Parts: sequence; C-alpha cells; structure tokens
Amino acid sequence: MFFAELGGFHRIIFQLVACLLTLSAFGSEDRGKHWSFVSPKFHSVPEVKTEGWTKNEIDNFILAELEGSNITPAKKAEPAQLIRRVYYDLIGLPPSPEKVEEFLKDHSSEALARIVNDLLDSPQYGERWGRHWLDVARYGDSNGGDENHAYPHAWRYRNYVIDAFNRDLPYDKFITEQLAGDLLESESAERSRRVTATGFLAIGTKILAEKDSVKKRADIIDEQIDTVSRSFMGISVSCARCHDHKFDPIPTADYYALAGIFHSTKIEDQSLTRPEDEQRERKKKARLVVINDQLGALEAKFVEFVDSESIVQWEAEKFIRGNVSVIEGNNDNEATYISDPGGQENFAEYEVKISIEGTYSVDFRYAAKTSRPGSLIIDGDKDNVIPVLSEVTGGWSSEYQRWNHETYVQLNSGEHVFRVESKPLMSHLDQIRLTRVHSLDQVKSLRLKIDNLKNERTEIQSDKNNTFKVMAVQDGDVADTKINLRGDPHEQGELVSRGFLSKISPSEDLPCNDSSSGRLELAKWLTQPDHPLTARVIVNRIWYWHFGKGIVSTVDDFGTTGTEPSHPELLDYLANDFIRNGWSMKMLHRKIISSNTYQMGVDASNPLAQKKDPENSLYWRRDVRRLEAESFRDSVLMVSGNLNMNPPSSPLVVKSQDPSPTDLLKNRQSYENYQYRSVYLPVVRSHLYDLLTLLGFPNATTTVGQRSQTTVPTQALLMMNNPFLISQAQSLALRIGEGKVSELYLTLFSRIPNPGEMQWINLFFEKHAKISGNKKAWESLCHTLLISNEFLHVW
Amino acid sequence: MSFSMSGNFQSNFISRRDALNRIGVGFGGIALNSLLHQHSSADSGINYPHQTARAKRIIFLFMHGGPSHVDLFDYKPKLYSENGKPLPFPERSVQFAARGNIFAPPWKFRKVGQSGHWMSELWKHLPEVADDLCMIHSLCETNVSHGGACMKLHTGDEALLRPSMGSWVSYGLGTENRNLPAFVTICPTSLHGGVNNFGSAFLPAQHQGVPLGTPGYPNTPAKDAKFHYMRHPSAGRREQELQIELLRKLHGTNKFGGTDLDARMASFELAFRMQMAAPEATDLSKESEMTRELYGMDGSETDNFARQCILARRLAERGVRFIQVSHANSLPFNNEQWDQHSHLEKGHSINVKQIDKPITGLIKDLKARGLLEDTLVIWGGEFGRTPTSQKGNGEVGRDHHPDGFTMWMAGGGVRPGIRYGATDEFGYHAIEDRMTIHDLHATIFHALGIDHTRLTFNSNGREFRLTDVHGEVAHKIMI
Repeated sequence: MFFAELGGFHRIIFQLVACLLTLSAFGSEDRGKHWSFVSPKFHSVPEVKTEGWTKNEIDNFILAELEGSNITPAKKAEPAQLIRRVYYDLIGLPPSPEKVEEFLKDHSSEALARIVNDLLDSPQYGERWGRHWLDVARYGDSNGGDENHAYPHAWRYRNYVIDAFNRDLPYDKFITEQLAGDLLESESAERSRRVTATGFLAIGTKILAEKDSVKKRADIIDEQIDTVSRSFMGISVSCARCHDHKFDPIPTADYYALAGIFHSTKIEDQSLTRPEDEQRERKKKARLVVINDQLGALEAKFVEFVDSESIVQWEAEKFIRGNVSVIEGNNDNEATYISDPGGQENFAEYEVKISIEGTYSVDFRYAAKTSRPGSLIIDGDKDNVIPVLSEVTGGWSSEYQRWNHETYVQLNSGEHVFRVESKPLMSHLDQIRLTRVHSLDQVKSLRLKIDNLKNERTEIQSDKNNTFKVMAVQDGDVADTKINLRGDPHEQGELVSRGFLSKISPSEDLPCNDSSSGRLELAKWLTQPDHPLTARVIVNRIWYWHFGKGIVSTVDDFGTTGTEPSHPELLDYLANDFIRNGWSMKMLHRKIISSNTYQMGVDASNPLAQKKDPENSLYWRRDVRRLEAESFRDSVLMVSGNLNMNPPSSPLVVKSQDPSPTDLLKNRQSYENYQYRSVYLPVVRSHLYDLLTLLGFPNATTTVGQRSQTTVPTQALLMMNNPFLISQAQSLALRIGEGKVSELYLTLFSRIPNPGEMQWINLFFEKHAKISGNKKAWESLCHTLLISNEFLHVW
Repeated sequence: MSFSMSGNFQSNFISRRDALNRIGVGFGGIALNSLLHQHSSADSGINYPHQTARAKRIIFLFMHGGPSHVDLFDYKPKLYSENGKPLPFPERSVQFAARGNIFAPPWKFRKVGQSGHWMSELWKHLPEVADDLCMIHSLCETNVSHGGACMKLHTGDEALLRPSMGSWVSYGLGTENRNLPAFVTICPTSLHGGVNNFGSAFLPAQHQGVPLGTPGYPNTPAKDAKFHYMRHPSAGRREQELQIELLRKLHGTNKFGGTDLDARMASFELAFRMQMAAPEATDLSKESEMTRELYGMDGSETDNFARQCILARRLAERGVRFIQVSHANSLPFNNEQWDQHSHLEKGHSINVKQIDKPITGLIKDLKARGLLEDTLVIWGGEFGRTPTSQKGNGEVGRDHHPDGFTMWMAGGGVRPGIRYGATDEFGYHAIEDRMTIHDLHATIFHALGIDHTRLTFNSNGREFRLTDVHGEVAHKIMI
C-alpha cells in the first residue's frame, strides 16, 4: 500500500541488525550465572581483630574489609549530629531543641534505641519511608505525557503505601498486595486495602490520546512490565519487547510471557465499600429521615402565619410579554415550564392583581441541575432587582421541580407587573406564588430553621466520602499473548504461555492457570525465599536510603550492566537475615542504625584512608548527605512554625490538564499555602512543583531508586529569590525573636554558634541593618541560614 | 555532587573532579569535544567537504498544531483539478478524524526567488528570503495525535518520556555563555507533552530547557516572558551580596563536607552573576527602530511573534545553544494555533500573517549580523494536514497528516535554495528521500558536528540516544 510502510522498512532493517548483534552476544550459559541471578548464599560472619568495635554482624562485615586494608574507622559521631541524623533518616524532620538537649544528657545506646523505636512508631515514619517507595513506584496524580488528565483516586494508593510502612507490612506481603491484592482472599476491610494496593499497576504514565488502540494497550503493558521488573528485581525487561535482551538473560519470549499476565488484567477505577463506610452510610440515611420529617412539620406550620385566602398563584407559561420558550409536558404528570430558547437575555412579564395590601412571600417552582441565577423586577423598579432562580434542585426534568422561597416584598393593592429575567440561560420555571404573611418575624424564624435543615440535607447528600473509589486493576479476559515481531503489536508471531523469567528461576515452578491472570503466581514467584533478586534488591534499597549509596551502587540495575556489590557477602547476609525476620523493614532499620558502621562520624582527616579509598566505598567514615527535597520543605515549614503534622483528610486538587498560566499560578499558590507534609502534595506529572524538582524530586515516570543530586545555579536562584522561602524566613524570624542567634542555631542546626560565627553574624547584621533596618536584617539572616549548607546537609 | 553519569565515553575522560569543576560552566557545560565527528565521509558516496560543525546553535521555530504543507509550500496542481473527488487510494488506517474528499487549497501558488520555491500567496514577506531556505518536503512517519507527534518531534519518542532535543544538545555541547542557560524555550505551551518537550528526563537536570515565560495554555505573551527567580522580591543587590558573603564564611566552617558543598557555594556566586546577565539578554528596549520595523514589532498582530524572534536573536548572539520559539498562542476558534480542523482559510490566513514578517526579519537580521552562517534555523510543526477535507464541519478544514509534510531550514551549513524529498501528486505520502523524525534529528545533530549514534547516556543500565536505533543523516542537504 503506497509508501506508508517504506519508512517502517528502515526501522525493520535497523532492528534486524540490532537483533543479530544481540543474538551473537547472547545464549551462552555463562550469562545466566551473573552473581545476582544466583540465590543469596549463607556466609559465616567474618572474624575481626579489633575488639569492642562491632555492635552487630553488619560491623563485622564492614570492619573485616577495613582491617584488610589497614584502615581505621572514624570515631563515633557527636551526639548532637547523631540524633539529627537519626531523625532525618527515619522521619525526614529535625529534632526539636528539647529532644537534642535530652539526648545530650543521656546518649547511651539504650537512649538511642528508645528514640529509634519512638520514631519508627510515629506516623511520620511512614510519611518518610513511604515516599521512598513512591519514588520506586513512580507515583503520580496525572497520566503525564500528552494530555495529562488527573488521576483523581491515585492518592488512595499513596496513603496505602504510607500506612503499609507504618504497619511494617512484611515486604513479601507488600509485593503481593501491590501485584495481586484483588486476588487474595480477604475480609471486607482487608479487601479494600488490598485492592487499593494494586494501584501500583495502574498509576503509570499513559499516552491516552494514542489513536492506535492496539499500540496503546501494548505501551501501557510495557510500562507495567518495566515498573514491575525494575522495582522488585532491579532489572530492565523492556528491551526484550523488540529483541532478546542484549546483556541480561531475558529472551523475547519471557517478555511476552509476562505481557500475557498484564494482557489478562485490566485497569479500572473501582468503588469499594469498607465497613466504616457502611456504618457512616446508615447514620446518614437515618439522619435524612429525621430531617425530612422535621421539614414536613415546619412547612405545615406556615399555614399558621400566612393568609391562605390571599394566595395568588400562576403558571409561568402564562406570561403576557416575553421571549422565552414554553416547553409542554408530555403528560399530566409533567409540568409545562418556561426556559431559554438558547443563550439570550430571557424575560417573561406577568400582570398580577393584589387585593389586600401587605407583606408577601414570593416563591418560585422550578427545576435546575446547575445554578442559573436570574432576577425579579417589580413594577419596573430597577433599583430593587431581586435575585431569584439560583437554587439547584438536582435535575432538569419534572421530578426535580421544587418550590423555593425567593424573597418577601411589600405590595399595595392593585395591579403589579412582575418581570422575571435570566441570561444567558434560565432554570425550568413552572409556577410562581405570592402568599400574604401576617406574622413576618415568625415566618422568618421558621424559614431560618428550614434553611438550616435544608443546608444540612444538601451537605449530607453531596458527601462523596461514602464511595471509596480507587484506581486499581482486576482480571480481564485471561489469555496468553503472541510475540509482537520487532515489538510491533500489529505483527504477531508465536503464542507464549504466561509465565516469568525463565533464566532467573528460583527453585519452585509456579505455572499460571486458565482461571486467573497469573498476577498472584507472579507475586509468589517473586517472593520465594530463594529468588535471587527480590530480597537483595530491597535490602540494598534500604541500605541506600540509610547511607546515600547502595552496596550495589546501581540500585535499579542488578543486571550485568550494573555494578558489582562493594560487600557481596554483607548483601547476601542482609538478604537472608531480612527473610528470616519475616521480611520486616523496621527490624532492618533497627539493625542498621544500631551498628557502629551507621554511627560513625564524618571526620575525613585520615590521610591513609583518604589515599586508599577516597570515595569511602569501604565505609571508613560517614558521608555527608544533602536533604531530600521533601525534607527541606518540611523542615523549613517546621522551623518556621507552619507545618501541620496531621495527614490531610482529602487530597489537594490542582489543575493538571491544559493549564493556563493563571492556573499554574493558582497551583503554585496552592502548593505554597499548603501546610501539610510534602508527601501529600499532588504529583502532577509534567507540572511538578519546582521547589521540589529543583532539589532532585523525580519526574514520576519511571522507577527511581536513586535520586539525582545536582548543583546548578537555578537551585541557587530559587534559594535566593523564591518568595515562599523568603516568607517562611519571615515567620521563622518572628517565631524566634530578633537577635536570638543561639536559639536560631539550635532550631536549625541542633547546636549553638561558635564565637567566630557570632562575629560574622554580627557584622552581617550591622551592615544589613544600615541598609534596610533591624527587622529586615534579622529576616535576611534567617533566610541566609535556611539556605546555608549546614541546614541543607546532614552530618 | 553526583552527576550519576556513566555513559561510555564520558567515563573515559571525565573524572569526578572534572565533573565538579565543570559545574562552574553554567547551566550546561559538559563540552564533549570528542563527539565533534572526525570521521571521513568518503565512504558515504556523497561529497561534503566539512568535517567539523557548521552550526554552533539552533533556532527552532515551532508551529504548534500542524501547519498545512499543501496550503503553504507543497504545491500540488492535482488538488485543484480533482477538487471534490475522492482520493484514488485508501487513506491511512489510523486516522484522527473522519475524512472527506480532495479539497483544493483556497489560495494560489507562485514560484519565488531564484530558487523557484513554491509558496502560496499567503506569504507576503518570506519570498524575500526564499533563496536562503532549504525546503524539506518529505517529513513522515510521526504520530497522528498532537501529543504523540509533539513529543516525537521534541524528544524522539511518542510515548515514553525521553530527553528533549535541546537537552541532548546542551548535554553534548554545553553553553558558550556561562551566565546563561544553554537551552532556552521562548513562550512554550503546556499542551501536548508540555514541559516534557523541553525536559531533560534522565539527563542531569541542568540540561533541561529554561522557559522564558511560564509554560501555559495559552502561553505567556512575549512581552511578559521572563526567566524565573531572577530577582529577590524586595532585597537589593547589596543585601544579597551580604547574604552570599555570610554564606561563604559559614561554609568555611563546615569541615569534611567535601566537594559537594564547595560546588554548592560556587553555584550561589554564579547565580548572582546570572541575575545581572539574564535581564540584559531579554531586554528589548535597546533595540533600534529599524530592528523593530524589520521584525514587525509595532503593536499589530505581528508584534507578539516579532518579540519572540528578536529574543531568539539576542539569545543566539549571547551564545545560547538551543533556542526554541513557539508559535502556540490559541486562536479564538481553534484550540491549537495551526490546528485547523475547520476554518482553514481564516485560521491559516491569521497564522501566516502573525509570523511572516517576524520570521523574514529574523533571517535577514541574522544574515546581516553574520550569525546565519553558524545558526541553523528550523521551521515546522508536529505534522502536516490532509489534502482531503475533514468531514462534519461547517467551515472546511483539514485533519492531521503525519506521513508527508514540509519543514524548512536556513543557515548553519544547510544548502540554501534547494528542495529535498517530495510527496506524491496529492501531497499525501512522502515518496522521495523520506525523512523520518529520527532522520531529522540525525541531520540537525550532524549540522552541529554531533554524530547522533555516539551521543549516548547510560540510564539504569541502558545506553540511550535521541535517535534510539534509527536515524540517517540527509547528507544531500548539507553544504
């Protein structure tokens, strides 16, 4: 067919060449024996010469290597540094000056262990460590890519992750729930949590505007495979979409074995009912019954205060002048009403005869799904335009016709002209009624009671919390998939049975069956204790988040292109120990933090060590670490007295699709006014909050185990000129009080300033105050310290 | 400091220390001289005498929405003679909207300049520089939706988020001016990939495009386009100097912090200098009356794009590597600037009017200042438009067309006044010298002296490049 495919031909040639190159490099059995594709071994804990230094097995592995190189480890960190380190590490926030002081008095191992336990038990732990996992899970609140539609329910998955960390959900269960929570047999409460967990598979970036639906599906599945393989196994399987993997033992057939599992799975928002929702729902229903009864009783009371004899009531379509459309009811049950014939300046006029002078209640009967406010003008009095017709009754059709009280007016006896206007559109107006009121005060107080009840009813009816909606997956049509030749979903080859990676196979074989997608089997396969990658990858991630570098430095790449572990036996020990301890992350934290390896100081004044190991890959000292973006923002808010430590009850909603500069400005204002922790900020792909991205927050499109840390002038410009930081500095200045430098230092750095620093600060203050006065100078000092290296780093 | 770079060639010659030192070079700064290709071209069978870069920088005039090649540059007499008849062959299977019959352009075409380029009568000014243009009529094989096609054009991939072309150039060549970013995008849109179209993805963050004006929909008017965070809301220069002085002193007491902390301190001093340089670069008040007139900066409908083009020239003069200018303001009757599914006649008339004089002025101005020689100007959108009409609209329009459309280039080592590639007699499929988006990227890189197969970056164990495993340089268009 003409030449549309000619260009495709070029592609085919290239891919054939790539494939041939690959085939020649692939296939040898040696590849399957790469260290990370063999199950972790049980190593004995090495003996060390130095006595008294080791606190647990981690120290033995580390010290043995150091001794082998004749390097002495650095001294233990100063207590003030250690407590600040532990706080940032576990909860991402600094300790209060009081906590520091307490620890300075008793900094025994027991005291530290107590602090560690308290921090691990605090909800802030999950907010910090859950966020680490959200990097890996490429968490985002919009589809990214082209259209950037909001994912309104993605945040439920985020909260699930935070909660899972706080509950110390065993990691094997954590994997299983995220891959196949919907397929586990669970009680109702557990079930909603587990279905929420599968959001992991649903929240990826997608090109939703792709017109080629077959390709679109294949791309979404590719994204799922990429995330699953990178996050849990630290390997990339996606190359095998087009050709056998060049470096790792992953044939194309394995890719399509996995693809079959996800082809048998569909992504769908789901409404779940939790027991607490059912209870709430029952309460709400009961309350509605009471409200409706009371409303009926109150409305009946009106009769007492009005003159029923003098009621004037007419059909809206009986206007004498007007340009509105009359819409006839289809039968006797349907009202005939007036409305607009299209956008215009609508009006309808009525001549009304009043026989008794007095105060009249004006009531309109109409239906409106959305508010279309109009006005009422009596006898051409344009100075007294009365707003009417603005209520929403729930729908446009007859069944939503309701009487609404609009106003009270004073009317003389005789003829009056009532003019109803509404532009450009008009509610569906059925009838108008005038009722003479003889006791206005009592009517008004009655009206107030009625309005309050009606408001409560509206509130209850519009409360959407009863539907617990989540972004999740469930099984679809279960079937195996054919290989897509050269990755082209329109060119299909051989059918492949659903399954896992054939060359990275732990001992037990777990075939997929015909009754379900195979996600549960995939989870079982991944969490077998002898799986060569799963436990190693997660303990390495945790180690990385504690130390700022992994035992395998390429934390997302355990394949042959990744780096070798610096301490392979330690890695295997930690992996096996982790499984032995029931895949508990909190136990691993305790073990790491209680080690001397973790507690070393940052002292780099060891010439021999500097020479032999300048990169500190043997861990002879602690590396200085920069704060992550969220820790920086949260700390700034905290020290300025503006951090709300509670989790927000509902998500912050910002505009993600087609935002205008004004929308983006509003989004920014929302972010800057938000006082909750950063983990709760929406992650709008393509329009992330620059305060976070400039400090290394990932772009939320692919698994990121290791954030990039850059030092660019745009960061410095942000630090110097960002209005949010400047205003926080002003709060900080006010909170601490002018001139209280020691308090400022204790709050920001967990220490007091030394005499040299005091001198510089005084000089700064003096010069600055001359230009802009004391208050500004103090604020400027607070700002300077907030952006200083010492505040931005953990020692 | 960890740039986390482990690309093949970088690791050979950029040590950790080197990488640190280069932070001081500005936003970009990884000058990869080894990439400037040295290989002989004798075996390619085409004689192109240069072996080094012909272009030092790029100005990419991006026409958002998909300008209609058959109404602007790609003259097809058959469309007039067959007007109203069905196409004699089936349309592509994946379409954006339903199509009608052949629809003759509402404008006449004429040959212009010595080169004899065809241009429709819509163009009043561009013919004056026709002989500087290299017309490429055979762009093809992109996505049929705006999002996919915009991302493919800017990043090489229609679905996965990859570094943008400008980021690769920044990464490969660095900047010539350490006080300005290497990659600036003027008045970008937030639609169809939005910031991903100038994002750095897995490349280090300093290579991401720096927007002049908030990316939005509609985009920021050029007169309000500013770099962000270039000014403290209240404090003056002297106060900021005091802050930096104090930061430097306090930093001196941070023992054992290492090079990361030194680098951070250096970045503050650099940022302070940038605050001086950036406002000057974007200040149009010093431009002469003659220049304003040349570009059409006169308050009329050309004003906005004229300002963007003058900004582009000012940035080019100051050594910015990659400058994108987006024609992406929305029209009242169409969402995207050039996306005339309906109202083709009205829309394209306004669109051409807005850019015709400014672009012509830009090319003349670059030439007069001796900048056109080493500046490659590229004009084009994410796809073309169908020679058939789009069904179901009152005012006739054309649908998206991804397999045969026109772009042009000028300056920067590209042969002026020539035509490359051709579509069939209906302007439907590119049939001669087909140029995919990967080929386009390879060719642009070639002009910059970069071998597109060798500019790679290792991310998560895989070597990536802009052109993936594709891309052929169109040697025929190079001088």
